[in-house]
Amino acid sequence: MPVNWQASCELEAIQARATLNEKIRAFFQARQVLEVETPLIGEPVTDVFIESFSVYFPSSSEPSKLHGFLQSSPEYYLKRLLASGAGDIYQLGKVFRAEESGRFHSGEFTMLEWYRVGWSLAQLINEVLALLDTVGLGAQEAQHFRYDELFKQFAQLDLSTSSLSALQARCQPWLANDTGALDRDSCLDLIMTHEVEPKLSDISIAVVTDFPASQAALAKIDPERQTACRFEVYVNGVELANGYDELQDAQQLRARFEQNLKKREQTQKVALPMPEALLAALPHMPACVGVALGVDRLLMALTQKAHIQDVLSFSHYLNEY
Amino acid sequence: MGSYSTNEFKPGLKVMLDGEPCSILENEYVKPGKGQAFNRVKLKVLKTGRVWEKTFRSGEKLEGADVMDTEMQYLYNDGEFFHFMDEATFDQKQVDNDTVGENAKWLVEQDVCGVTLFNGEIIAITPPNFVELEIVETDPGLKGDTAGTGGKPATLSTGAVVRIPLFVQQGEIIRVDTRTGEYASRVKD
Repeated sequence: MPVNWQASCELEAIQARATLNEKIRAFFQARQVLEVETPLIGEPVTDVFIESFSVYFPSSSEPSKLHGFLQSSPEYYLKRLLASGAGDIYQLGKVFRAEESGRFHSGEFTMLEWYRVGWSLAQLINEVLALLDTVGLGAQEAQHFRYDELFKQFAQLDLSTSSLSALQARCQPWLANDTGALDRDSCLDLIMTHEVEPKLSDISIAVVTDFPASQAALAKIDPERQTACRFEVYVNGVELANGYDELQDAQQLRARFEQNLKKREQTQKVALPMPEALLAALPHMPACVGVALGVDRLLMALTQKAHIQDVLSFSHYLNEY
Repeated sequence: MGSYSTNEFKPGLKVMLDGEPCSILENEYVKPGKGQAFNRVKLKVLKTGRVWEKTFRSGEKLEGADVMDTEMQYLYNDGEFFHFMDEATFDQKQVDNDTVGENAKWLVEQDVCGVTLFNGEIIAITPPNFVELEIVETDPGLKGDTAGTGGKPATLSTGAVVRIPLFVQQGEIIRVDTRTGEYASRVKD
């Protein structure tokens, strides 16, 4: 077998990426958001469904010395910068996620993540839409949906009255193996990917807000509505950006992390440390909102490519991995 | 046979699902933002040709299926079974009508066909892309119609019915594309 050494995408896509990066940087420069860099090797996130690559630095005395984890998102470090008084910041750079490979996933991809101090979630959503407009995704009117509206409209499901068993029954025909009952969030994820997202493909830009509190991740929970202060932006049915009104309560966050780590243990996932540095920084972090955006997916939308490999200069290694 | 995890589900991989040997056609990885990853997989059931769409949680495994694609020569039909022979070992295997199904009309004695073996048994056959068959019945056709408008139906020696140009006559041998069931050309002696 000949060794495949060539770039795996067209030169056009490489040029389109350079142009996109320039536009992104100009956008934030004009808005006085500071570009920052954070370590690529550090502490891992506790997410149940994100696997970080471990980085080892073997020495003769300690052949399997763990050096750290490749960052799956710059979120923890950026929050520590915010707590250190950095103000409005953004990072444009690579992140890594083991075991992710598909049309819209690569084990290594580019993420744009930014934070606005003292802003509301609505202001941040408007800024995401302004950025999409600036980089050339068209100035289409975005359609806004609450998470429960989305399910009502596109899956004919009333989440306020749907029992777990009803959701499980809905999902069962799709599943190959009956390997134990799915929990509520996994059912919602399945209905989202199987029924809702295909219907969002007709909508150029959809903004989804008010996620279930169980899917808050690092977002605040609205005390009145009991929903997560979180939004996602979909471009033609593809998830592009995920934003939060950032939780500042270290105790609450520790409880969520503990729950994650427990779930990881129950499902035989790699044991991970508690992110103590982030938790220690949190009381110093100003009220802020933040969003992460998949740059490769944005590039796919701009260049109308069907597969993430079509916008990556080299994709062989991690997809073979 | 080993087992395969969802990230090894490549097109063409043969796996067992619900007791049926299947061939993977497509494997799409889906993962909502903060949620669990799933693989939406299209599989062809090898015995029936039916396509199943099933979703797996990423990391789930399937047993590999002991399936082999090879070629065998079609010998004859004894009314109940179709008989095939391995040209290298002269080993013979038989297949029933249900397995051959619609493909029966493209089987010509001594033609080499693709066969799919599961646990040593033939579970599917693929006729050659082109077969040569005699026209046993067709209308005489209209003299002078050279525009070839639509042609006419013809019944072939195996019972297959294909549309042929008007100028082709009963008793002639034609080449047929078995993938589309369409007339390809006349076969000159």
